[in-house]
Amino acid sequence: MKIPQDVIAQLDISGNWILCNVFSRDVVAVSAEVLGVLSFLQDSTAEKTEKKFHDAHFDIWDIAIFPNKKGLLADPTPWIRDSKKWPKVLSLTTSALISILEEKHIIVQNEKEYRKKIGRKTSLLDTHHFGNFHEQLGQKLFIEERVDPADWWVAQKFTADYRALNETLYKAIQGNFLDRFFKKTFTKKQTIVDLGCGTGFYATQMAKYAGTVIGVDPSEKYIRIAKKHAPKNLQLQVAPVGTRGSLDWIPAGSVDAVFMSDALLFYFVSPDPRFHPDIQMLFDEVKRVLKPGGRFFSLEPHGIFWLRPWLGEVDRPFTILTEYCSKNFKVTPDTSEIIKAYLKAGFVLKDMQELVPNLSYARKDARAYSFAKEFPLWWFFELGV
Amino acid sequence: MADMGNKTDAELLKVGYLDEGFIDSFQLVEMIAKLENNFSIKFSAAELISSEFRTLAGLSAIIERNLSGSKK
Repeated sequence: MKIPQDVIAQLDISGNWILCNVFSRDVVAVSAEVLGVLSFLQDSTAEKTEKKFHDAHFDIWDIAIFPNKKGLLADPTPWIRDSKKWPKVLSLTTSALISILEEKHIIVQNEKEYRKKIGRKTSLLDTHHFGNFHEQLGQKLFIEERVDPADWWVAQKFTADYRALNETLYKAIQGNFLDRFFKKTFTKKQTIVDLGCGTGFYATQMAKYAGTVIGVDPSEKYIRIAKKHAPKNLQLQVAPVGTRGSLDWIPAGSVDAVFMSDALLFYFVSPDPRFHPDIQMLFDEVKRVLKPGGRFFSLEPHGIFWLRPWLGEVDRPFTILTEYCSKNFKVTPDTSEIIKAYLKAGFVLKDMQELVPNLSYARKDARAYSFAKEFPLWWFFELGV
Repeated sequence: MADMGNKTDAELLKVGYLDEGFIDSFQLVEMIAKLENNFSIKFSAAELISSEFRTLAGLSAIIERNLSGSKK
């Protein structure tokens, strides 16, 4: 048996140890005696280890891997600082202990086979690969909670009537920034396209300041929801955004600005690894509808956005990054990839901002505030044609 | 996606419809919801992640077992 080098240990205030495989994101807490078993197990066999510790019982806490089930931007690792959040302790025989440690990838029999697991899932039901962040969370939600991940995504971001953002980092960062940006940027003489408008929340916000807003989304379901609360100057249209000719119904050179948020990432990390959407085709459509001097506003999850462990003190957070260029777990493009894609399309980069939460959020959740302030969740690009 | 045109019905039942890319995750969620509704059954987590679930023959067997109330 072997302990992969991907396993890290952290001492809990209770005197127990938290073991985490940073690639599989499995987490268990164990009593200090288990470290002795692990030490013996390394380079030994399960049988010999069971023989050596044959009468013993060991404490282990099987900690949930994804507390994010309550929200995409919620603290992904509350168990690190609060043993009260751990599930009920299991007191196991050596054999049962080894079995659970293997199931959680804290120890492995065959390192070659284990390494093959690091990579994208082939489907929502694939348990042979760890998958990227979206795939891991989607599978947990669907198999364990029997929730449709698409419905869950909307519910964790918006209030039940879809008319406001929940009081999370979405509101403190994205909502706060866009509220100010729309107000200072758009005028009643302008026509704006919200590409991939979803349930229409931001399109509705834009319509307060712009003359006409055209919201476009491939989902009939989302457009149906958006229509329920759309103001008169918001037109909504179902269209297969990103396919050739999908915006042909919008005249060339007729739009002052195109806005797109939380959508381009899927052109870099496709939800289905067998399908590779063409970002240049999308950008050709954007450029075609823009007036000379028009703007493309692109707000996307940051290149370092993925659900990292929140470690460290409240005011001095640190984290563990497992990858930046690779996309096994990561779901966003890195800096040069996204900028090169814009430049290849012929856009001119006018401005770029890395968004951080507004200070008032520090009173609501100091740890979330300091973490998002240190490691931006979104970046915003202003692009000219 | 593999060409299925020359396969017999018996061979088609053994095709891994998920692994061969006949259905994406969005369609899979819909398909499972429809099967559960139509047959008034609920697949267990173990059934969903089983290799049996990944072929039409296996899926059909799981549904039959659920209908007869005798889970494997």
